[in-house]
Amino acid sequence: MPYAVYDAGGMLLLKAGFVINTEKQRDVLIENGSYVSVDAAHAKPARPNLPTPTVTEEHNSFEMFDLLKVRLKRTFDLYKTGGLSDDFVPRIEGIALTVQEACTHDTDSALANLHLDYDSSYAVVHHLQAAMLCELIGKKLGVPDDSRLPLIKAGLTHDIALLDIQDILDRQTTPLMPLQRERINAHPGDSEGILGKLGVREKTWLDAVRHHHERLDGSGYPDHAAGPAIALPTRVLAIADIYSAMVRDRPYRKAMVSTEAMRKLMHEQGEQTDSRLIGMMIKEIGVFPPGAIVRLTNGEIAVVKKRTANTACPQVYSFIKPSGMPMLTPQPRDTAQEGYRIEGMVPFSNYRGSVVVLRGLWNR
Amino acid sequence: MDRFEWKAEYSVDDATLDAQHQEMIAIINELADQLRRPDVSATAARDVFDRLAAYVTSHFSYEEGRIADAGYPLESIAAHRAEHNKILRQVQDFEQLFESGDVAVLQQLMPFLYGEWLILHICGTDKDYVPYITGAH
Repeated sequence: MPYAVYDAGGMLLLKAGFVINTEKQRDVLIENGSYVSVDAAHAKPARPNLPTPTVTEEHNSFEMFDLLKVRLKRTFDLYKTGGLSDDFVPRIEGIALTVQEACTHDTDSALANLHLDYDSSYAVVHHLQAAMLCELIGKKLGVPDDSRLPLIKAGLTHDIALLDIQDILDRQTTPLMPLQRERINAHPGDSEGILGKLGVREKTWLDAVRHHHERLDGSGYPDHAAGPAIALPTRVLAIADIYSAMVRDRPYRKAMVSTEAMRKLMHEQGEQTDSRLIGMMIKEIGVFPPGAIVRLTNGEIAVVKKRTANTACPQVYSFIKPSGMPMLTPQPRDTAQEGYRIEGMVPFSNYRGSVVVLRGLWNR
Repeated sequence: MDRFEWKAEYSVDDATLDAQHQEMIAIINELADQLRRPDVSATAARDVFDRLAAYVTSHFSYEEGRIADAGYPLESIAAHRAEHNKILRQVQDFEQLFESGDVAVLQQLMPFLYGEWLILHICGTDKDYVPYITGAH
């Protein structure tokens, strides 16, 4: 529209230059009666334009993980419908490289993306999160970039044999049927077999997938391997798999907040998994990882944005007031200050509606 | 025009979404009431932003989930999300200017809520998913 539109009282309703896209929208305007006279007397001084947000590189890793979810889902869908043959390995390799790139570029945003996800399928987020943790722990162990890739690929595919029944398992609240139990017990070996048929030849990739349910005390499956017989990459994948399963909702239990998952890993799995690696993981992702939802001493609910040198005091943004009402613009809080200390973690599922506001902290 | 009113042509054929969209009309009316007063009190104006926060929180993620369940194509959902993100950023910018003491920004908020949000988004972009909601697609 070439001119601004005001109501009869002189209230600005539409700015000059407002573009109506469809006839329907024009009709709405007319029927609303907002087509009132416009004359020079109503012309108001032009305001400076509102600040436009600048896209900073900082947020790229968050968006990269959004794209990774789409790419992995597409790859899994193609696999399930038999539409993949030679291109499975290159696809997974491409995704693994991007996981590595996103984690290197901005680990905080990468971690936040998956902790804040609530609507992607379990299979997609679980595999991506396991892959990301493999990358982060591998890096902490000092493994060179190229050598970390096979384990990232194992993380992305370790439950491939369950993909066809995953959707049912995601909804099932009744106990597993005997056939389902069999499938689950056999899935590490089955996954190894499927990957071999899809053209995977790398030993680290295949071994880690086959043995990711082995436990140090020999209680695991399928080969009941124990202690030193379980290779380091496999131990890393085992921890990544357990943690990323714990922090997601399952039909038979709610997601655990990450501190609870870490405590459980440390205490209950101590005999079964490599506690040195668990310590490394906790040190790397933090007690309150980015994307975690926390309650502050002043009663506000906040999201962790970045880790700091002090794992107890990450950088956070409050998004719910002490009254329980949401904020339109989340506010940065210094958790090292008395009034803003972190009291504890709360499940993200309590604040799902705020996800659009929270994602805005990274999508800017 | 004294009051902005809900019209049948705004409907997206989903009772919950329509009820949520009606709240946007109510917010526009509240803002209009305040702008018509000789001077706007900061406390009363903050109520508008609080209502917008509650609206965004209850509506955006619900709508994104609803259209996903209705089988709306992934790329269209992504575009819709991007538009939600853009609207949110803009309204946050308004809030920041207001909180920094610029009360006159409320006069610019009106064409944003009415033009960008109601006419272009609710009566424009949102209409695109209706065939998926009704199952006509």
